Amino acid sequence: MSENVLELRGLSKSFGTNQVLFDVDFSLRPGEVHAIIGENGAGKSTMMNITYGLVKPNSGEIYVNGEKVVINDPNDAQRHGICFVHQEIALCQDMSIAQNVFMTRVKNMKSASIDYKKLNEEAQALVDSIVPGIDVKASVDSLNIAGQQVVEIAKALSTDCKILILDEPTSSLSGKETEALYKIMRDLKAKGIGIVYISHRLSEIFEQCDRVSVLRDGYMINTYEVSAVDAAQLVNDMAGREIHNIFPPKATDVDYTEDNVMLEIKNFNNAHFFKNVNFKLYKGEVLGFSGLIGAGRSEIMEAVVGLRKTEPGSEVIYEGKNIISQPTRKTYQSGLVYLSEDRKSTGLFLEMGIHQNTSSMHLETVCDGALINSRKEQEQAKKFITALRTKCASPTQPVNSLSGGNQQKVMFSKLLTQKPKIVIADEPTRGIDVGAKSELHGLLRGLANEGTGVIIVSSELNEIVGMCDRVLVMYEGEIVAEVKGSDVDSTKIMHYASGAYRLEAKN
Amino acid sequence: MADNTVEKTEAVENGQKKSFFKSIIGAREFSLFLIIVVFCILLTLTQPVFATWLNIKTLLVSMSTTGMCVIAMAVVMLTGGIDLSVGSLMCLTMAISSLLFKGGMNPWVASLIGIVAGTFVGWIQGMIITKIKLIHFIVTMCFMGIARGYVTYITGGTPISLVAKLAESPTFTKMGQGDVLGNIPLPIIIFVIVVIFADFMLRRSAIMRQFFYTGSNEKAAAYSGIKTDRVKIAAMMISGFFCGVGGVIYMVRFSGVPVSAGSGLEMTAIAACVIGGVSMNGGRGTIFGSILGLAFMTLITNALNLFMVTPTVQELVRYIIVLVAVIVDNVQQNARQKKLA
Repeated sequence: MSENVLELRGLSKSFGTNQVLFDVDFSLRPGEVHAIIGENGAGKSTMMNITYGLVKPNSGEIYVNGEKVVINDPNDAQRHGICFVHQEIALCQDMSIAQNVFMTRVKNMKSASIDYKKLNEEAQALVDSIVPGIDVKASVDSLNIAGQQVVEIAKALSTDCKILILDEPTSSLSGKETEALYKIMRDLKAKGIGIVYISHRLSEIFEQCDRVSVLRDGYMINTYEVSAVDAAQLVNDMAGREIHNIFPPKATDVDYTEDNVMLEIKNFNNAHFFKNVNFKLYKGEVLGFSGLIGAGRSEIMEAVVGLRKTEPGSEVIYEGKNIISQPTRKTYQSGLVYLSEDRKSTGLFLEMGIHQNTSSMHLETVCDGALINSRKEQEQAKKFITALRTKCASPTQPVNSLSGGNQQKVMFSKLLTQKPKIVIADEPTRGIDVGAKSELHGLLRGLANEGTGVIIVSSELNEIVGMCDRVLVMYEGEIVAEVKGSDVDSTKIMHYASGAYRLEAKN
Repeated sequence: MADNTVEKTEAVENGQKKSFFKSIIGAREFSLFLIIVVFCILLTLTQPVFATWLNIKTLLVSMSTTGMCVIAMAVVMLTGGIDLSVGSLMCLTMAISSLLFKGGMNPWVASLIGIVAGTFVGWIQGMIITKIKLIHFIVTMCFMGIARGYVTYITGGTPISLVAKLAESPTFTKMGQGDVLGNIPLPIIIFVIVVIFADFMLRRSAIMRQFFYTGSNEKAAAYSGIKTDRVKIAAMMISGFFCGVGGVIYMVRFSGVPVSAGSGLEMTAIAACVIGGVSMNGGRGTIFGSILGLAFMTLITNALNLFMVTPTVQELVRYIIVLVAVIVDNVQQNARQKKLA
């Protein structure tokens, strides 16, 4: 019994009439990484939220080190050594990194004044042990998402942690940072800490995890030793159906001639984010932008649609015109649309309805003259709910009550209410389940096949390799390589994205 | 998996067919409306004076000027801001109009200039908020003082009386003091029309929808191609405009301008909006709701007066009731959210 550091027995939970967990059992041994996988809405987060005291179960028991415990709130959970790193960043943006890292400890401190020198030193040591080179005295909002994720992990580790729950920790990390995280995980394992690892990336599970449990629609389907299972089996368990081709077939005959250019970027410069960027998008292709986070990919795309300023001389040639100084709204109306990278902060109106979100980019599509026709607006939302198989109760439901994958589908419907000519999709499938992912990939490929230009910016190498006909690799604000057709493979892209090619050039 | 999808799709269909009646009952404003009705019945039973037309009329007329500032506040709050200058701005526009009127200008033109001035001050505030990137609270708080201070300066701190002037322009005077349909004061009619129009526009107009998007998530609105700066400036201008309209009606109704007109009104307006369901974070609320909120506030004041509660404790009691109302509403909202999730 006591060989398990954490054990959940018979957990059930329903929200109203909607039961999301059915009699789920789970165990975690010390020093093991136990992955939980499953589609969005399968109940993974609910299960972990119960463990962390954020949600109360309807029935079921929790055992820590073989002893039955009652966890009413996160304080209880922390007392039992349970730490949770959420997928969504929840930090005090204006405060320093050190203050964030020791938020928990400061809260529990007995003395009245804080020894900031000591606090900073200890925080620095902790953060350095994860990723060196971050100054903990800087404020959190000076970091990008990846950096903030590191702070989240450091925060969890700052307490006496026996059980660490990581909810999709790598979804916003680039390759190098992910490697660093794996190293931390191995160190923690060696110390006997049990890690619950929630992920959508199957490759990670085979590399990093000891056991894997599959949840589907609130039921625990299976638990395997990772060494005794293969990817096909897991995908099968998750989806309840066989997914043969994870990615849709690529284009076979893209016409790379001048006549076929849909969009051309010339002499693109921005003092902070990118320099001397030139590229063309051809009709019928899916063009990928790969690179580490912070390489300037999103910033370029934002500048293309007028959301960010560029230096004089930068040009965006679209439909025979230079649209560099055109307002974003006009660009969108002319059929060049941008799906922003972060659905919570720059994509959705969370407390507003699905219908109001769907219509937000092309409001004129649901208007009679200057007035919104709310029937049309709901019809439109329903159309996209059906087309994209968005799981929801009603088209007027607020989007914050949807799971990540379904929120992402609402984001896509926003872009599609008026038939786009060019879609720039920034991290189109970040943090969503396998099923929704492959649906959205199919959608993007379908658009390309119909003649829509598609640009995908992604930190997931798999997605880039699986989806793109041509890939531009960025490193520190510059396009450093182009790979095309059958040359598109992950080693090659990584070679450039990681900057390894520079080391070689020096030698 | 497949079954699940079918089920959900059906749920979508059903959700769509929710009846009109149900959607009214479900609306946030409905419970507030019920409370007000119950409140009125109780008052009628305990204080017969309450149900007299004279009393009701007085309440409605006072609401018709205050209500303009509530609309102003609601519009700004929807975009995620707050406008503390509404009361002072109302006073400023009526001071400008009445001085011009007194100086011999045609009263209609004078009123128009006052309203334009209010709108202009709104524009200035909007420009400072968006271009210099100062928060609403600071900018509007300063303009609250600036507008009030300017009125004191141009009037020398003495009230302006328009009694003699108004007698010369009977048509204009009718706007604030006249009755129609027998016994209904015209300001009430104007107010009802303005409320219906403003509520309709906020619900249905594509331009006003951008106010909600901006208030709900300013960044996402910008990424959706909405010019959020323009929206925020427009909201401040609309706010100034309604303060101006309210000011002009007030001026005619009371035949002049007390220098303290509209002081403290910003607090009443914020309370009315919050009770009526306008979110302090922006993106949620209706004009209809905020006017119901104002009705609620007005009824409390009236009840306190009818029960002859001494003025010294009235404010204390009033705001305790406001606090309780907001707490109850919040609990209700959370329960509703949980049901959805």
